[in-house]
Amino acid sequence: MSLIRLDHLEKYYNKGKETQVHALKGVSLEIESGEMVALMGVSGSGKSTLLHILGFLDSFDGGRYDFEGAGTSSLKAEELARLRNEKIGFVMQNFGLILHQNALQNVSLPLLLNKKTKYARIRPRALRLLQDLGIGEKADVPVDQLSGGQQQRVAIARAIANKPKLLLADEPTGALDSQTAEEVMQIFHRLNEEKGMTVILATHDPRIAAECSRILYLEDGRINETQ
Amino acid sequence: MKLFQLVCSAVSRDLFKRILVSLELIVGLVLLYLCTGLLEKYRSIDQLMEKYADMAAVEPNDPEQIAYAQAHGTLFEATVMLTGENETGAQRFFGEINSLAYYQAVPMELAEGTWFEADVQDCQYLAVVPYSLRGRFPCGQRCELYFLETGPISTYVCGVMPSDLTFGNTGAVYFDDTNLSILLCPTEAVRDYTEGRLASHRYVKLDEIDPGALRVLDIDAVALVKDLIHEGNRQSMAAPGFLCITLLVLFGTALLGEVFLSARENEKDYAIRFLCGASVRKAVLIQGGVNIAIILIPYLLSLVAAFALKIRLYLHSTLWPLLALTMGSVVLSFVQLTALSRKSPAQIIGRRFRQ
Ligand SMILES: Nc1ncnc2c1ncn2[C@@H]1O[C@H](COP(=O)(O)OP(=O)(O)O)[C@@H](O)[C@H]1O
Ligand SMILES: [Mg+2]
Repeated sequence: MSLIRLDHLEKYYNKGKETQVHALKGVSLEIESGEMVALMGVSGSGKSTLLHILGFLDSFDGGRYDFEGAGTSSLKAEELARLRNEKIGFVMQNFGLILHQNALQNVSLPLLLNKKTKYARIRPRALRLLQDLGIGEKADVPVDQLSGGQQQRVAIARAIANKPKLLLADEPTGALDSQTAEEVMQIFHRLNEEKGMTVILATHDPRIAAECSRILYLEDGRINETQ
Repeated sequence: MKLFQLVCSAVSRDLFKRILVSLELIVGLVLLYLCTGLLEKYRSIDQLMEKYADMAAVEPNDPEQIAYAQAHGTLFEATVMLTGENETGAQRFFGEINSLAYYQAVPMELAEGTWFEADVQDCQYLAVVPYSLRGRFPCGQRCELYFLETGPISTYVCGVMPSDLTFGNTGAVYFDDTNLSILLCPTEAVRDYTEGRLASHRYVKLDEIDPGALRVLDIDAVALVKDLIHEGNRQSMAAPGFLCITLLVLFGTALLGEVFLSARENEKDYAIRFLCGASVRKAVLIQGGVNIAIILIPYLLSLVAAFALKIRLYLHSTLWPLLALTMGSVVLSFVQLTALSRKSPAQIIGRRFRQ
């Protein structure tokens, strides 16, 4: 059973309006648990759209999306929220942190939103995550005072706080210099290999993509496995 | 519980900034409060002028004045033990405990002393004694009047009446033809008023009057009117009045700016919470909690400040602008939340995080 199975997925923006955009045009693909997939494509090809749908941030207009073997189109908002919280980690290009909170508070957010986590265990767990990513000493620093690399580590710590199955990263190294980018990629590799997390990352950078076990090309809303 | 923690963590974040914003709001609100208080005072002075203007013009023997005396003064009949050097005996008096307002409103000349002698710390009452008793109770001395009905009352004799006045020739006090009379008025209020009177700047120093005593005695009105009539302070109210309105406008603008500036930031935080596993409902709930907390903390603090000021300044019904402002902010934040809940978090992420 594959972790993700997309069958002719369609996505429109502003459907029915003059400004309608057909962002995904029948995307079909299967991703197995434990894969590390690069999603390549030029700007506007639909990478973010696809990741948003995979991460249950956005809905789709046609086709089918099975997650862990089960259809997702009939899930209610609360169930989707729980999936986002427990099964998905999302890392963004410019980190998507709550800027006026410190690193610890940012990492605690998904733990606070998780019904299964006891309150007393949130702080130690968040600290452990930050330590694992080498920024334990920055726990109390407001994230806007951290460097880009450090902020991305906080974002990764937050993404993996609930030990998700799937880690989605939308151009995670886009805002970083090449050395920091490489360090961040190492973290993704570690998470993929040691924790068995499935990683899908969108990137334009062929060197980043080359590090992944599989590359998918998105071209004008269509998937192309080889190019 | 967790929701509470979420809101707490969101509010406590960057505490310094929050505190600054709160302080800003508090300062604004206190200013606003002071301003409206001033305006109110200005307004109430007009009313008081009207209310009390004709009182000073009342002629002695005017039945209205007598009615006023009877309504405001606490008349009592008492047997006072007179323990002088040479003779001891009991004598019946008509006493009257009155507010200072009354004695201010109804002018009465004294043969000796003044109504408003200070330095009466340990006396319960000030006494103005009848002329015939001036030897036994000399002006400027403490003495204990022993009332059979109530026991001893410590008094300070601050004045002597011109004569043993009777009902017929003064409007000041209720007298009985046959009995000697004594006037007693609580020293507390008199002392406070004295300080107010001695102050160089009447309006400010008036604030230092103990409002508790004033309230009991219903004193402020007349004091204010007198002050203003005598010192022509009325004109000087126009400038603060103008200042109030300016500050009010400035503060209102600042508050609105604050709310709208934070809207952008709130939108991002909202999308991030959604991303981390909050449903739209919950993300809005958290943001709502944050908004309410951010609004309520400074408002509650300023409410306390306002109350403190209210008590200090003895101003009436000036809390409504504060309440209106609070309600306005709550409504505004509610509008903001509704707008937020209608937006797609994915779109916010796309737009705000340039994905
Ligand atoms: N919220 C939106 N509203 C309208 N059009 C959108 C929106 N988000 C993306 N699009 C359009 O959808 C297409 C795919 O965009 P996107 O998924 O962001 O591409 P990528 O991430 O590969 O650059 C683009 O043509 C873009 O303009
Ligand atoms: Mg993109």
